[in-house]
Amino acid sequence: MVLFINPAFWIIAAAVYLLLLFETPRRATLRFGLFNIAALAILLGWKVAAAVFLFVLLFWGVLYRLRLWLRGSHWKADTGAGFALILMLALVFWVHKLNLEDGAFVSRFSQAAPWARPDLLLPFLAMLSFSYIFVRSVELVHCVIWKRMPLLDPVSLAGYLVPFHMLVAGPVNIYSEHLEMDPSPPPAPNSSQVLIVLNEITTGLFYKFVIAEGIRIYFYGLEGHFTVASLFDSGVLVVYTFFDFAGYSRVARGIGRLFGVPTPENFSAPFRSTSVTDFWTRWHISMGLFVRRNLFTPLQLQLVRKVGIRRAAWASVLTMIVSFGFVGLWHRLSWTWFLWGALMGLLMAAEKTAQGYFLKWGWNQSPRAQFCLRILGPVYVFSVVIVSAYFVANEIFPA
Amino acid sequence: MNNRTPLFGIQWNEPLSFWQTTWILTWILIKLVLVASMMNLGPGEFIYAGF
Repeated sequence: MVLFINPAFWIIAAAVYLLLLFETPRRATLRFGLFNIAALAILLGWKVAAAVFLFVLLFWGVLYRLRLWLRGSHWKADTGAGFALILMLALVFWVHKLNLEDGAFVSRFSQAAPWARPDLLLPFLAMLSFSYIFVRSVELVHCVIWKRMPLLDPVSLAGYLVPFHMLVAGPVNIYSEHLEMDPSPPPAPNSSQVLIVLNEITTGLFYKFVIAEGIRIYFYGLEGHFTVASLFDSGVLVVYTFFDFAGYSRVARGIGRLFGVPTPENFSAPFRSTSVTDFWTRWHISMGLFVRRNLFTPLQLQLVRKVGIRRAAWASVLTMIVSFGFVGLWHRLSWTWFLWGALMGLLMAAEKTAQGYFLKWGWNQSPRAQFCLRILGPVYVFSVVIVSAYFVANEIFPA
Repeated sequence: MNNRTPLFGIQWNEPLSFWQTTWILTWILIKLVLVASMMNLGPGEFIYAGF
């Protein structure tokens, strides 16, 4: 969030907006990609920007060669190549997460593999929030290798993988939407739309700096840090996280709209959800959609093909557990977080079964049942979220 | 994609009227003043003191 209180960030964002207003024959993705690298160079330094470009160039080179090699090949070759690439990315992600979770990891890694220059690599990955670049890269591999979508040039690809306005923490943008910028670039926003965007950006800043920070200061003091020792602390943490995360997501989305760069919505009134399943379609929406596109749907299709349509329900339970287990591990590489995700998946599978019974008994037609669901649903969801957060937050904010 | 602005209920493609523009500008200004004052830590101390 420090980025958003840096005046240079806002000056650069305004400059990129004005530069993108000029009509040129160049593709929209290329123009944004070029300005994005310049913005990264000013904000993070030219060495970091050069390293970003080098990473993207390397990744692009591998994808380009693979596409040439896989032309007309058997689907098994695509699967093998795609998984090999994702495995390599996962290895970098694993090292990045270990570094974030353990302060002594850099020195241990430096002793074990000094040639990898962990003293440079690990801060570089942390500075760029590599967790988000990882999921975007997985999406890119899925789209380019399996779905055979066009591969952008390295400069445009840097605009998709490391967009400067989404540096802080996402959202997870969609590759096909980014590609759409070229054939159908969105028109530049008019004065009314600019005002709507400014309203969105300032709401994001208000969420983060007034509401979220106000909550933190009120409960934990000016220099205080979160501690999760009780369910009440966990509740405060959940509300704080919402305003913090939804705040910077709104700022990023507002800036994306100004640039005409697809920047997905991340939150949609999650505390009004009537079920946990509903909650996960309203909280960190872009991550949920990423998991659905790249893990849940392909895995579910493969499983149903293997076990048959009669066992589709069981396949769905397993897929839910695996998908949310991945979400848990993406947050933190620990058994607690994996179990958190797996239990969320199991709970959603149980909700799906319960929903089936409600439909069978006709409760969905009853106004009284509908009313109860509207009132008790959010209470149930908030309770589940608080209890689940209590168990996992202990690892991040010990009492 | 949600194209409706919360609070004002304005559609993305809808031109703003004079009053809508005035309201949004005022609301933006209020939020910016609050954000700026929170950064100065004055209200922070006020909140910490328990209002």
